[in-house]
Amino acid sequence: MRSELNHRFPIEPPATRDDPRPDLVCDSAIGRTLRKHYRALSEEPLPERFLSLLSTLVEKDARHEK
Amino acid sequence: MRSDNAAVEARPVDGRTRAFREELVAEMPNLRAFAISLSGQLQLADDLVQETLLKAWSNADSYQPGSNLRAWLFTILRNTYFSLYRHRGREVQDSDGVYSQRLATPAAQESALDLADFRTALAKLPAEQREVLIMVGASGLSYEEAAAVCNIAIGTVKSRVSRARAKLAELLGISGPEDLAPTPTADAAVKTGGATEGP
Repeated sequence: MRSELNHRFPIEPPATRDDPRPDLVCDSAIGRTLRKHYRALSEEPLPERFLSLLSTLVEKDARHEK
Repeated sequence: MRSDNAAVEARPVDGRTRAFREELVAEMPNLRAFAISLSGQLQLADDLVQETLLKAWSNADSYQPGSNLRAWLFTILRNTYFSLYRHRGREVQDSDGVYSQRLATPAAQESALDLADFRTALAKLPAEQREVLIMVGASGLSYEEAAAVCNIAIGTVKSRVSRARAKLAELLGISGPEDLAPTPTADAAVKTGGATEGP
């Protein structure tokens, strides 16, 4: 856990001719279908428990603050 | 898999905390899509997302605002997955694509059929290949970010992506170069440095 949190991820710079974005490299039949697949998953309704969890955590912190 | 938040220590609720919560909410769809693609099981994927949210919340102070939250969350999720479930095998459990049939698909029947075939093939890839393909090909991470998430060299990411695409082409019976090479639209976008989106 500690090592995984030691990473830092700066916002990536704009793509250039010599270093095209991977999504452009993958813009083939496979790449397009891959994005359709991912988009469909992303548009699935989220389980209520995720939002409930975050609400619980925020409330817990708020109670602790008082 | 931990199912409660008893171990999460309370922290002061300030503007940053609320902003962090909103950022987590915004990333949930991507996080879940990645989890389903990685694990191949809806229930497991949801457990992984929940565990990731708990860990992220507990370690919010380790996150630098303005850096790539998606990559940070992906790192936590995939490390959790591989540390807990790697022994179950390199392929996802739903290699027949059963979970895929339960998921929403675009209205066009032709697209739905294509996606079903694709998901079945995707599930048969080794997890190490599948994860980098999803990260760089769909979730918007760069090669560098994917390499950092997986703690591997950039060259390894590129080779895994290449092998993943070749394996998918084999599984889907794709042999023509037009199905593997970038389309003219993408090529033009690369030359201009612009973005493009598949149909």
